[in-house]
Amino acid sequence: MGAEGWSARLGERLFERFERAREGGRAPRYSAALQRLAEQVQGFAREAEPLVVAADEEASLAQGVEIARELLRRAARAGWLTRFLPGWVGGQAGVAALQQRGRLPMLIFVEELAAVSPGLATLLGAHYLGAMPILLSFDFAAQRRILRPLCAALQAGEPAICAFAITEPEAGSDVEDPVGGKRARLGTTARRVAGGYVLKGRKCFISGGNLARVTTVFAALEPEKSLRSWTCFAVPMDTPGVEVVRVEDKMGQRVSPAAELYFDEVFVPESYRVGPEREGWRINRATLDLSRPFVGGMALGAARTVLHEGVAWAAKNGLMHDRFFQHEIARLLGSYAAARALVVRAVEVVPPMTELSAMAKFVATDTAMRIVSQIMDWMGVEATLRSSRVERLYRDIRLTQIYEGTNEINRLAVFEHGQPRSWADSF
Amino acid sequence: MAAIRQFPADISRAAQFSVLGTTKGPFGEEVRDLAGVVASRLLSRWNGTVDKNPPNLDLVRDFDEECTRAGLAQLFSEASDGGEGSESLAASAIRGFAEADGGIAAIFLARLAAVLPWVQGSVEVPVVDGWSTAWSGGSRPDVVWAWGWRDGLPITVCVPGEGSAWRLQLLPAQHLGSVEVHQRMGLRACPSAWVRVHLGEPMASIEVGRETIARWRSLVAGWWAVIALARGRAALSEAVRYASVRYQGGALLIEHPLVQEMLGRAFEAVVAAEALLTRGFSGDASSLAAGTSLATQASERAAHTAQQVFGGYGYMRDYPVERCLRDVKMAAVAAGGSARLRVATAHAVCAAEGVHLPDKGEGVSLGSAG
Repeated sequence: MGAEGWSARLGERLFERFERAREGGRAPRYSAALQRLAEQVQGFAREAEPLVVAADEEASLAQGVEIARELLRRAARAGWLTRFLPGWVGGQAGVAALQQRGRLPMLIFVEELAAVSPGLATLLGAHYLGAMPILLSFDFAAQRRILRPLCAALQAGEPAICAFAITEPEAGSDVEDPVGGKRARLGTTARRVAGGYVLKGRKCFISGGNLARVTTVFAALEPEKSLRSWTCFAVPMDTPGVEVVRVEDKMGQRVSPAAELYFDEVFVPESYRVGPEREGWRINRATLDLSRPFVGGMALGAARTVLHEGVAWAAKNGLMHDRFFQHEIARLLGSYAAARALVVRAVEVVPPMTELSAMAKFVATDTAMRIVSQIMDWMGVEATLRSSRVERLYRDIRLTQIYEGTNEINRLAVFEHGQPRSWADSF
Repeated sequence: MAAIRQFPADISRAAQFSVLGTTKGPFGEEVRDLAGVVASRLLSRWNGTVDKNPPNLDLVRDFDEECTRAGLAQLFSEASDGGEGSESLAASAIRGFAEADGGIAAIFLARLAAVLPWVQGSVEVPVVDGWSTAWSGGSRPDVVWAWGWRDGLPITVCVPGEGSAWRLQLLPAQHLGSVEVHQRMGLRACPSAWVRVHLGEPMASIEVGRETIARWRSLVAGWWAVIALARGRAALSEAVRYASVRYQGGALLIEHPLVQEMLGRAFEAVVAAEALLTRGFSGDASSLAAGTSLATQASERAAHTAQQVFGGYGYMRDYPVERCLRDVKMAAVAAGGSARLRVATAHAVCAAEGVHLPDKGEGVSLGSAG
């Protein structure tokens, strides 16, 4: 056989394989290990779904809190609340916890939880958000001191979670925006006393704040200096003076309680200060830069389910060959895919970039909201019934455009460091 | 034209509506005010139960009685008789209700839609409990989605008739089978239910062509859009109030140009949609279709903007804007949803140009009921 015949045959075989692969139509989403992780999370979330639905019905807030506690117990027993914490505090993530290798699994985790319930993703994710300032302080002794006992309790199946408290009744966007924040008057203050600090003030909308064992609280050392004097403290929630004032009655994500906390002259020992004094803003920023792409991932996880529901509805109603419907779905799928690519990119960048994280958050959450709104329009009034998953996800996704800074504040964050850095190089 | 005239004796106030043939303001201020008064009375009586699942059926009965007492029952026939100004009149009543509560407005809309075919078709039908029927649409002939449902009311259903025509039947309550009352996202004061119906032996029956059904459907969609707009506007008013007292970055929220732009953008769409709908209810079919489509989009944007202005508080049920968003979305979906409404606009505009596009046969649901 001449060289020409051999190469022609090779060409044919490669072409056949290429075409077969194209017709098969599926690019593997993850490596085998990550695929296994995704399936494990899906299994957990599916089993949790009846409880999520029960908390979302007209259950009382107290019933909802009990359901949340039970879900946290289950998650703790299954290892989901220690899985992404580093080994030196008793977690399972190794040194990669904050690195690129550690963040993609976290994205898969929140995405797959949110595919069933963004509320469930918030309930579990808020624990990591609460622990993040402690990790990002890079004070290893404090990390061990504060997080080790929690991890031990979690491994014993106790819902010993962390919560993250920045928002105040009179300061919502202010604590997310360095420009406005400079002129804000923050109500939660810390006063130096012998051996530590005394905290006074109020924090609101704190996810898991009523269930947490430790809350990372940001307080101003000098109220007139506002965010510039912000300092972070890990407050054990059984400290005298800590009070859960109320649990919010929310539009959606009802399985994840949000609480208002009051700190009435709460003593916090110096060893529970997180990072140096007046470094609160930096730690807060690092935390949000890290977590915002995950909020985008949550919204997109839910949007993916909605897309599935929409396509299933179209198939049931014989619309899958309708060119108009194909066009509409293609538009939504395209925007979903683009937003997800941005989220994955934001998660890959280490350390996280403020601009990229903020963009991933507002692009992904706006996209998800557009998708659920459009699919609901298509499906008609049946999709507005409380028995419909789409209805619940519509209300749940809406919150992702508001928390961790409204999307307007996130858009302004793109300019937080002056000119956006390295625009083109980041993509 | 014979309208329903068999009302109970207690309709003294209805006489006042003899002057309502002419309308004042965008939708007729007097009717709007009266509807607002009725809605406020109901809200004060049933405070705390209007946004609950399952819906409060006692509230619906009370609504029916209140409307009869206020003479709004008489208005039903006048508002849907197709006479000059009648469509504006209906819209202004719906708007009056919706400014107080979207769900209460939806009950009124359901009553109007149910009576519309009989009044416009000059078919005299018996009146139950004053005047009303529940209205249904839906793709399954034996199980219908009944808006404004409550026990004991007959239901107007729409089923395929001869050729391309549709047959409307008024089914007595005793011909209705199992009922499953819905738990919905929004407009919760207005109950809806899956109702199993047994066709045959109707109280009244009428056959109508596709074009007629399409015209009614467009009208009913416009009424839903009025509800959406009123709730969208209510959300914006709340946002303005909140932004005028809440500080961000040392300045009132309302002082921030970004917030002003957000509110301005939302307001301009709402105002444009209101103007277009007003023209539409005066008999311009393409304005009605375009106004309906624009109104649903404008009101969704309005409620969404309001919620963003409120930030975290906007997501809490203690504040009114989250409910506005749920109500607006519910009304927008009931009107047909954005893509269907844009197609309807194309149909109406093409028809005005003399090009008649084929109707794909969605006539079975007056609006998007299933």
